[in-house]
Amino acid sequence: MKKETLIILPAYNEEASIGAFLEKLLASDAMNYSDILVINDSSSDHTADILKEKGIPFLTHPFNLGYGTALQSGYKYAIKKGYRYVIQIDSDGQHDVANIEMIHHCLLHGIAGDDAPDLVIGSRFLNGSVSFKISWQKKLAIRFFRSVIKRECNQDITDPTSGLQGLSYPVFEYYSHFGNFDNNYPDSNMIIQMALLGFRICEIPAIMHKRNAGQSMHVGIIKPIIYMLVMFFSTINVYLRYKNHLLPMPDIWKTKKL
Amino acid sequence: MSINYLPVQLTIIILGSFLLTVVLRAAIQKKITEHHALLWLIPCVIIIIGGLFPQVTYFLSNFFHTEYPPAIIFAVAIIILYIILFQCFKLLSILVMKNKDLASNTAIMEKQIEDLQKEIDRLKADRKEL
Repeated sequence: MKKETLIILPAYNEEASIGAFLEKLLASDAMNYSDILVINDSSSDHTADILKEKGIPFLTHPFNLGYGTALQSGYKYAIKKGYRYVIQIDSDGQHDVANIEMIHHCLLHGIAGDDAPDLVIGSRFLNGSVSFKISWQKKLAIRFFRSVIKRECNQDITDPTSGLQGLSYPVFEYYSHFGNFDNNYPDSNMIIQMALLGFRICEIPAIMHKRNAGQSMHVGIIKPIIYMLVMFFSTINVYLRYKNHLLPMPDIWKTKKL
Repeated sequence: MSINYLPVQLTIIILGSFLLTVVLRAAIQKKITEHHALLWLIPCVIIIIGGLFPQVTYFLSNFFHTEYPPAIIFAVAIIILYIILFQCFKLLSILVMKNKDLASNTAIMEKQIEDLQKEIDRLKADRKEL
């Protein structure tokens, strides 16, 4: 029987951690209802060799395209292969494999009797979450974007920068189109965009670990500052695009509900 | 003693005409699109007009109360170059996004070809067994 969920893992130079993480993933119950796709973002280390050795399906970008484009490649692939759900998870081992089951369940059945959501976010800040200590800069950014979402979309998203997400078909179908997804910094700006467009978003407590190897995308002093400025600008842009009716309407809304 | 501006005027006109010819030639040879060529043609025309009628520079200098008239020429040049550079960056951003999209699609197609090849090999093997 064809599985209806695709787990996508963007990977760039993750040779130190991806092998162990994939072993955990392959041994998990998620394999009963999900397929895996690793998006190798033109790694210069042995990431591709590890994937080949383990027989994991993967696609390789011809050159390094960044985290956002890697995710978008995963969405496009899921569309082509007819999956109904996508779960995106980091390949560096930060996101615990146990999160997949919770996200999958929430995508299918919703929480506490509510309708099934379109987008599920794994949060580090809900009751029941297990997470490592995050830097004050990151905390500040999260607090800021949380308040923006609360103000503009009337939704309390505690962890809008979380990369651990579950997406239903309408969401990743929308993201897969050119220009609908931020290829450089897909973060709280995309959450705001989807909330403004009327997609149902919900959060579940997540288990996250500190990465053992490799380097985060936002290290040093300059990169986090650039990130904050770009994200702030991008968030304003998303809001103005929405207000000026410049955001493309999701195809599914044209024929279905809302 | 009055200053003879003619050699400077001639140099500016020749230079402007030369630049105009270079841009038009590139447009004819399809080395630059008409849209982008226009961005360069307008400054060329401004240079030629500046050479033909130097009074324009003095008029603008008086109008903006500039003590040093060539400063007006520098200001106009900076503004024009800024506009051209901005257009270049706009185009660059669009091309980067399109390039990423194409590269991403290529990777997916390669994966699909690989999957199909595996399927063909499997079918061939099944056929041999039969």
